[in-house]
Amino acid sequence: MVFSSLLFLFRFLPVMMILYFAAPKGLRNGILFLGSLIFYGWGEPVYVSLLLFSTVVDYAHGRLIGYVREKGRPELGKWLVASSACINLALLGVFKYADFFIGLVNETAGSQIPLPGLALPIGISFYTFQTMSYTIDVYRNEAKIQKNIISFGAYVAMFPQLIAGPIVRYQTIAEELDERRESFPLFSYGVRMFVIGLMKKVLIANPMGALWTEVQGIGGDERSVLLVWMGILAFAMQIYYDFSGYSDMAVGLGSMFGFHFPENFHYPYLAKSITDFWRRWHISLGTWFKEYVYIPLGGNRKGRGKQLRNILIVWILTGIWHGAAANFCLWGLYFGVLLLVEKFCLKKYLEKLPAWFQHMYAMLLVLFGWVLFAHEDLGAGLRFGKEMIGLGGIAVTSPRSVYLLVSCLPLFVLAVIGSTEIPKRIGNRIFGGMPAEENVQAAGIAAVNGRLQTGSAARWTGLAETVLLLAGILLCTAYLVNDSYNPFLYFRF
Amino acid sequence: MNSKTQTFAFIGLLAGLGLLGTILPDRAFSETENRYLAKRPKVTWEKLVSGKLGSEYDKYLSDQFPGRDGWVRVQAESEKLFGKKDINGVYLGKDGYYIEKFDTEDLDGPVLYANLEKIRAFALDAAQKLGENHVRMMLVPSASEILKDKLPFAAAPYDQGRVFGELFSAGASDPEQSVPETEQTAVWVPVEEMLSRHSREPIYYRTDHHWTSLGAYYGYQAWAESLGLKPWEPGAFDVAPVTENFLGTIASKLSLGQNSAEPISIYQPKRPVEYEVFYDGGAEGHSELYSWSYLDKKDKYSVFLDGNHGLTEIRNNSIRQGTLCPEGKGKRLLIIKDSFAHSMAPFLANHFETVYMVDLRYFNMPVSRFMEESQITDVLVLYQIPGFAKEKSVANLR
Repeated sequence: MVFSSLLFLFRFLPVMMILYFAAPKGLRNGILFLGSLIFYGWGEPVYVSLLLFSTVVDYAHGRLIGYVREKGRPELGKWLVASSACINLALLGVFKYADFFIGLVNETAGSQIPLPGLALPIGISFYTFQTMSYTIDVYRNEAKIQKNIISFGAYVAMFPQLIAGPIVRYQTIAEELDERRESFPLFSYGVRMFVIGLMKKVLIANPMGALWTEVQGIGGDERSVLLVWMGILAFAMQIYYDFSGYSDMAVGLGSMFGFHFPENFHYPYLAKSITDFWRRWHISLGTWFKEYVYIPLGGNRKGRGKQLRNILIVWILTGIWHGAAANFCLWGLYFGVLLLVEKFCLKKYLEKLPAWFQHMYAMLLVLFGWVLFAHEDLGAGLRFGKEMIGLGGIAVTSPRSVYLLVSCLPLFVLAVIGSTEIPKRIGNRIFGGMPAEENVQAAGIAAVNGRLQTGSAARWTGLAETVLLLAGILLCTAYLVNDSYNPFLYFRF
Repeated sequence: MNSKTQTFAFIGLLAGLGLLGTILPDRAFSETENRYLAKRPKVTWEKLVSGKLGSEYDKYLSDQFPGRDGWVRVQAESEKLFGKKDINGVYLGKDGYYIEKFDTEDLDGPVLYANLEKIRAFALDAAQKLGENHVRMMLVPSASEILKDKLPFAAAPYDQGRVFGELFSAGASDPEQSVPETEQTAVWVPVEEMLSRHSREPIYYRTDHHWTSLGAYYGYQAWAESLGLKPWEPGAFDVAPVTENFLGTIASKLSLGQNSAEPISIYQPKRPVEYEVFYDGGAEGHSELYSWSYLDKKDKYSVFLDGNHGLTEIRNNSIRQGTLCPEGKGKRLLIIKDSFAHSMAPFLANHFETVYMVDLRYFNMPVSRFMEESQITDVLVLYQIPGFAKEKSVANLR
């Protein structure tokens, strides 16, 4: 099931919320767990078993770590972590990477090993990373052992972040799993985040995606340099609004049920360098790799050579995390190399240049990165890149491109403005007292309570906010009822 | 307490609309969209495991969502606000025109080329059997090709004129089949030129993909001129609207309301002509070319010759009895066509003792056999270009 569907909005979610809040506290994790399994099983009935398997495996490993500690042999914990990682990575290996690696072997060795051709279970990259984080956190004493398998199941399967992130590390919500306080302020904050996310997905990402799909299909004398630039910009907007929209919806839903999920995107297209971009893009994935790969490998503490190696390893892994194909691998490598170049030589010069130049520099590199990301067929990606820089033998413009530009210009303007902090500033000025997400995260409920103003002015703006949010839902509903283009982008993750 | 209001409003809205959807009875058919709506899917174990139930249920929810037509319109209005000039594949044209949008990748594909090859071969074959002056081909452009000044700013739809370029270059590459260009082009009625000359007149419906009776009249005129025939003057007909409430197929794509409705006019000969119409080989003859009952339904264009049938036969008893058009006596015309022919056939029926219309989608007999058995003397192939480019049944033409 996906968030941007009528089924989720008008069947699953209301039933889920009514059951959840009608139940006593002790049953709530169970309801969340069961509901999440239904949410997942609706589209992936067979692969629910895999989700449950991963849950049981890491639950057991956590308990075993506790057991060996009690027996006074904590050094065995290392082997348990290794075992958990092996099992989870094996799951990923079989269901996500088997075809890719066997294909590679066949190609290099000229062998004819048949491809398993298994369908990729949705969200497998998200939940295996989460369950691994649990065993590691427990081993490092950064989280307590979860004794209740229902609570642990609720963490792994939790539908708000199950299929498209953010990757919530166990230690982040360990306490809230057992002891959390749902509240009206937190819920209404969740409503705001959820509706904003839904609108990002339905009103901007989907039409941008439709434009990108259209551009991909245009050939012959209708193709032009203008067209391919519009296309890749549309793809950039689609993937940002889609992904960050999903994350916003996840944060919002989590908040409704009393959880605080970490922020996953922080205006990535405002970045001034590639280093900056990756601090703002898919933050939870970057954190995961830093905590569980980069630092354990020695990070930057073992000399420049090791650091170089560690950075490249992390970025190749980041690349293929996004999909089992050569282009994703290269995409990761592309950013790894750029980060190294910035780190070791470009940074000091870049910082002296005017801000607009830094933005342009970062954005251009990101756009060419998306060309790589969007084309699984490397030859096609290369052709597209050539067309962008005017070497593709196509005209500068064409009537069709001009029409598309005229037709989509307002949407582009909206999307560009929406990817800056402007809408949030305006929103905060009108509706007031809204703490930034990171403050909510840090200060928890107290900060959210802080926005409860008194006085009639506050009441009116509060009412206006509610009306606007509901109107937002209705508008999205209209797009969903009309069966507009509504793809799910994370089949490959 | 604002947050409390917001919480309850949110849950209330989702639960309320959800509940409404489960309480309200399902609709079987949508008049506005002119199609059957998805029914509640039957739950079976196989569908559940394959995940197919999920997609069927999504379709069902969207089709049966309470107030569906209203939502579709809200979406269209919102897209307009976003500055979109085309919605659901329809250009929002000037002067209240809604024009179907076709892009190159929609039409320019293998089906189009196969179809062109098919009818080109058919035309050559028929011209050899019946004589060149008894075979005519008409590929009628759709509104986006003709009503250029009604299109939104900068619109660049598929150039339907390209089809003819393909057509006449196709034979040249194959010397076996190649015939002198004059002979090739002679059977092709220059209908695009004729329509372009009248592009400021209401020759297409504003809310439907068909041409109006006026457009069909110009099509008839182009056909007659290409044969050196004298078409009946417009003055020979009584022209009158038979309904004012027509909302066509394009209106359905946008769920347009009654305020966009337009008339359908028909051309009735002033002098008395006796017709007899038979559908699908049935025994019952109808004395009129029009099925008036469709005017009370959504699908009003079907008033012309009762809409789609595999075989439609129009007998002109006035010609048979010799009281009208003596040169038409004994002549039998076969039209291989789509629904564009329905509004043009009434004009042609005044020139032939019998007109047969065949819709390849619903007609199973080989056309060549039908032509022999029915002693066909004349042939017309008539399709609208975008429909033709996607029509798979043309492959059955033999």
